[in-house]
Amino acid sequence: MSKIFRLPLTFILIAALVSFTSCDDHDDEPHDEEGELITTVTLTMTPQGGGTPITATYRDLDGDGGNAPVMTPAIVVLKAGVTYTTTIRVLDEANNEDLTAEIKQEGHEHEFFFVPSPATLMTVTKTDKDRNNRPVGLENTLQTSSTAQSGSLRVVLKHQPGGLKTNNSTISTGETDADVTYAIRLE
Amino acid sequence: MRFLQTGCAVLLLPYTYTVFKSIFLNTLLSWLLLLVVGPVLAQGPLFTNGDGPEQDCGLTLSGKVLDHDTREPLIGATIYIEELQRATLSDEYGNYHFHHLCRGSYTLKLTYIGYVPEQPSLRMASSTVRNLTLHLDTRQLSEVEITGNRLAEEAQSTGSLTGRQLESTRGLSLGESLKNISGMSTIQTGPTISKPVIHGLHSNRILLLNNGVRHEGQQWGSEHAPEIDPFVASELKVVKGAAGVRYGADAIGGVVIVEPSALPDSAGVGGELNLLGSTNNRQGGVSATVEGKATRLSAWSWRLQGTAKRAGNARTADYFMQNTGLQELNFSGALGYKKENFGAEAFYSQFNTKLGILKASHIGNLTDLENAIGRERPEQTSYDFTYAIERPYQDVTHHLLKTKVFWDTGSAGKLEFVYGLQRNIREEYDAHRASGSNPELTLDITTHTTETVWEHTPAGNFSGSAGITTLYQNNTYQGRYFIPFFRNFTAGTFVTEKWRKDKLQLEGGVRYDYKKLSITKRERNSDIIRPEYQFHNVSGTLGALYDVGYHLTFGLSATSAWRAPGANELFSDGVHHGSASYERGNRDLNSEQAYNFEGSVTYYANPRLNGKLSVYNNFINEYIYLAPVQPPTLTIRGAFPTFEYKQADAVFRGVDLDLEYKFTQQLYLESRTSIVRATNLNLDDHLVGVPADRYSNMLRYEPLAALGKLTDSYLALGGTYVAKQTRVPTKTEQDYMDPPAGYFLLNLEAGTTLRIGNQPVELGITGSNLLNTSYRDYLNRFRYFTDDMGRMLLFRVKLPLDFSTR
Repeated sequence: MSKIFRLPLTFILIAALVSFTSCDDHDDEPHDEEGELITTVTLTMTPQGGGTPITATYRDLDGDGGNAPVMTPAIVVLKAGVTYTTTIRVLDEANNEDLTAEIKQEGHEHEFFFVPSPATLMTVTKTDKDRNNRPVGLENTLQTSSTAQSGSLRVVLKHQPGGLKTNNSTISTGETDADVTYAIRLE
Repeated sequence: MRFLQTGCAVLLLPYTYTVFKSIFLNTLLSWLLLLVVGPVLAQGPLFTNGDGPEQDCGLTLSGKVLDHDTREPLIGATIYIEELQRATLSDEYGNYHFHHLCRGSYTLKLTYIGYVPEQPSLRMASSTVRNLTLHLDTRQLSEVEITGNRLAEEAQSTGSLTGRQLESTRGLSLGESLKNISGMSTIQTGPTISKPVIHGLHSNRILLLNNGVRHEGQQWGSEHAPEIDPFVASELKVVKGAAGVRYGADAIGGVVIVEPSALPDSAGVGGELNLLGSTNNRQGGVSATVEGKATRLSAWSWRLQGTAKRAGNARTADYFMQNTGLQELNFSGALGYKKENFGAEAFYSQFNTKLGILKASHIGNLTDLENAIGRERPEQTSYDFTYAIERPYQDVTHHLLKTKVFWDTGSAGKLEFVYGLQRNIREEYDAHRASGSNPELTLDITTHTTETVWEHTPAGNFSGSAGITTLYQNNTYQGRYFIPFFRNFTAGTFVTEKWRKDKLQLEGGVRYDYKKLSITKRERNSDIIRPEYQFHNVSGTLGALYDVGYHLTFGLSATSAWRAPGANELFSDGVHHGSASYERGNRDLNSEQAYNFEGSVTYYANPRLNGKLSVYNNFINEYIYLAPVQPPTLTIRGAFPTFEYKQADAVFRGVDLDLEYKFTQQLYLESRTSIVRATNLNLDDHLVGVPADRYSNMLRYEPLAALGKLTDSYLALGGTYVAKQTRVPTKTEQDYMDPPAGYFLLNLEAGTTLRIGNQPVELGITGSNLLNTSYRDYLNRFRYFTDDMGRMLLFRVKLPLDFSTR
C-alpha cells in the first residue's frame, strides 16, 4: 500500500515545490529597475584666457521613450574665434551615479567622437589619453570658427570592447553608448 | 540507367516554378548531384539485388482483410511489409494489394484499431492471393483514439515526423526538426534560437501541445525558442491552419503536437541510449531513456529520460560567430497505472537551457545597425572556437507536471481529465557595461491548465467528443520593464462530431471561449494601473473527406480560431534589442479572428507516384502587426524609428505539395514544396517577415536486403532551395535591409544498423549545407549581422536497450 503511493507522492511534492515557490503574492507591484544607463551628457566649456565657463546639458531622465530629451540651454551660445577647454561628464541621474570615472578607467575601450555641422563650425581636439596612449575625449580643446554662424555639434560616445579600439578605429567602430546633438550659435 | 534520367527530370520539376536565374544554378547543382550519385548507382554493390538477373520483381500480393469470426471485410486496415517498409490500406471492400514485389520471404504487420495485431509470414515465389484475418480485441476496443497509421483522420491537413524521419533530426532543435514537413519553416535569432512557423504564422499564433498539455511560457517573443526537448517525442505532428475548436484559443496558424510514445505495456525493462556529435559548432550530446513494467499483469509502468547537450560557437562558411554556444540539460519521468477501464498517469519534465547570443547583434542605435548592415561580416570575427558563453545570453528553465486520469465507462464512453502545471523562468543577461552577476530581466510565469474530455461511444456512424478546458496563469518580472504583471483566466467548452459512412466522412465542431486578462503595470510617472480586459469568442470547424476510389481522396475544410491580444502587444514600451526600433503597445487592440479554408487531394498507396496537394486561404480579421509611426523616438543614443501595434485584415494563402516517386522499390524521390503569400488587405500591401518559397528534394536509397551485417541501411542526398523573398511591404518602411538572395543547400542523410553480439547499434549521419554555402535567410533576425551556418555533419549512435532476461 505505502509503496504504491510513494511515487505519486514524489510527484505531488515536486508539484508543490514548483507551484508554491511561484505562489501569487496578491497586490504584488512591479518595480522597474533599469540597468545602468546614461541619462545625461554635460559639456563644460571654459574659454582659454579667462571668462565664465559655459555648460551645455543633454538630459533624458525617464530613459528611452516617454518624455523627449531636454537640452539646456536650447541653443548654446559661444564666442567666435575662441578656444575653449572642454570637459565632458556622463551621468546616470536616474540612479544618481556619475559614470565619468568609469569611462575614464575603461578608456582603452571607449572613445568620444565629435561631428560639427557645418564642418567649419569648430575644431575639436582630444587632449586626454587612455593607457594605450590613444585619445579618449573626456577632455578636449574646442576652437570655434572666427565667423559668426549657427550650426550644431554631435557628440558620440562609442564602446569599442575586445580589441576594437585601435589607432584606426572610427565613429563607425563598436557600439554607441550615447549620441547627442547640441544646437550652437557663434557670436 | 534509364530511371536515372527520369530521376533528374523529376528532381528538376519543382524548380521550373522559380525564376529563370535560379533555375540555372539549381540545374547545375542537380546535375552535379547526379554526377556524384550516378557512378555509385551504376557500379556500387549497394544497389544490386544480389540475386542475379533472373530475379523476378513483378509479383503481386493481394487479398482481403476480414474479421476472423464474422468474415466481414475490414476497411482501412494497415498492411505493412516489414522488409520493404511499404504499407497499404484495405479499401472499402476489404481488398488490399502490393505490386512489384520481388521473390522472397516477407513478414506482414497487420493492424486495425480494435483488433489484435497479427504478423503473418509468407514466401512469395509467384503472384499470390492471400486473405488475412484479424481477431477482435475486447481489451483494446475501448481505445478508439490510438494514433494509428490510418490515412486522413481529419479533413484538415496535417504532417508528422516519426520513425526514421524523426531519428534523422535527433540533435536538432524542435523548430529545425519540423522544417522537414511541408508548409513549415522557422524564424531564427542566430544559430541557437529557432521557432517553428506554420503557413507563415508563428509565436503566439501557433499552439504547442507538449505531451497533451498546451505549452505556456513567453512564447510571444520571436527570440524565445520553445522549451521542449525533442528527444521526448516519438512523434512530432503539425496541424496546419486555424484549429481553434479542439485545441483552444491562439491556434490561428496551427498546432504543433509533441507526442511521447505510450508507456510500455509488455513486461521487462528496456530503453535506449543516444550519442551525438557534430562538426561546425562541435556539439556533443547524450540522451538516455529507461522504461519498464514489472510483470505482464502489473498495472504499473514507468519511464525515466534525460538529455544533455553542449555546443560552442557556430561557424558560417567563413568565420566563427562569436558567443553562439548553447547548453541544455533536460530530464523527465513518467509513471502510469493502467487497468482495463481505468488509468492514471503522472509526468514531470524539466528543461534547462543557456543560449549565447551573437555579440555583434548588440548595437546601440540605428547608425550602429546601418553600419552592421553595411559590413560584409561582423566586426569581431577573429575569435576562435570556444564553448564559453558570455553576455548577452538567455537562461531559461521550464517545469511541466502533468497528471492524467481516464475512466472508461463502457457504454457511456470514455472520460479523461488532464491537469498541467507549468512554470517558466526566463532570465535575460544583457551586455551592458559593468553588469553584476544578476540578469537584467527575469520573467516568471506559472500556468495551470485543466482539460476534461468525454468521448462518447460511437453510435451509428457518429463518433465524437465534448469537453471543458481552463487555464489560469500569473506572470511577474524583475528588472527592466518589458511586459507588465498579468493574470490570465481562460475557460472554454467544445463539442466535435464525426460522421463516417462508406466513402464519405463529415465532421463538425463548435467551441466557446472566455478570457479575462488582469494587468498590473507601473506607469512612467510611477502610478500603478490595473486595467482588465475581457474577450470571448466562438470558433467552428466543418470538414468533409471523400474517397473516390483509385487511391484518391478529396478533402475540404473550413476551420476557425481566435486569439486575444497578448500583454506585449497591449503594453510593450521600449527599444527592441537588436532591431534598433522603438516598440509601443496599443491598449485598444481587439481579438484576431481567423477563418481557414483548405482543399486537398491525396493520391496514396500507389506503386510509383504518391502525393498530396493542399491549397489554403487563411483570412485573419484584425490581424495585429507592428506598423511604423511618426515621429521617431529621440533618446540619448539618437533617434529610433518607432513602431506601434495596429490591426488590419490580412490573408495568408498558399500551397503545400508533397510528392513521392518510386523509381524502384529501393530508390525513390521525395519532394516538398511550400509556398505562402500574405497580404495586408487594408493597405493592399505585402506583410513583412513571410517565409520565401521553399523547395526540398531528396533522393533516397534503401536496400531491401541486408548488406552483409548491415541492416536497415539508407542513403539520401538532396537539397533545399529557398527563393529570395520578393514580396515585401512597399507602402511603408518596415525593414532596414532588402531580403537576402535565394540559396541552395545540399544535404545528406545516411544510416545503418549493425549488430555487436545481440546488441543492435544504429548509426546515422545528417549533413547539412555540404557545399559550405554562405547565405542569409530572410527569416533569421540576425541576417543584419551575420551569415547563416556553414557545413555541418551530425553523427548519431543509438543503442536500443533491453535489460530483460529472457
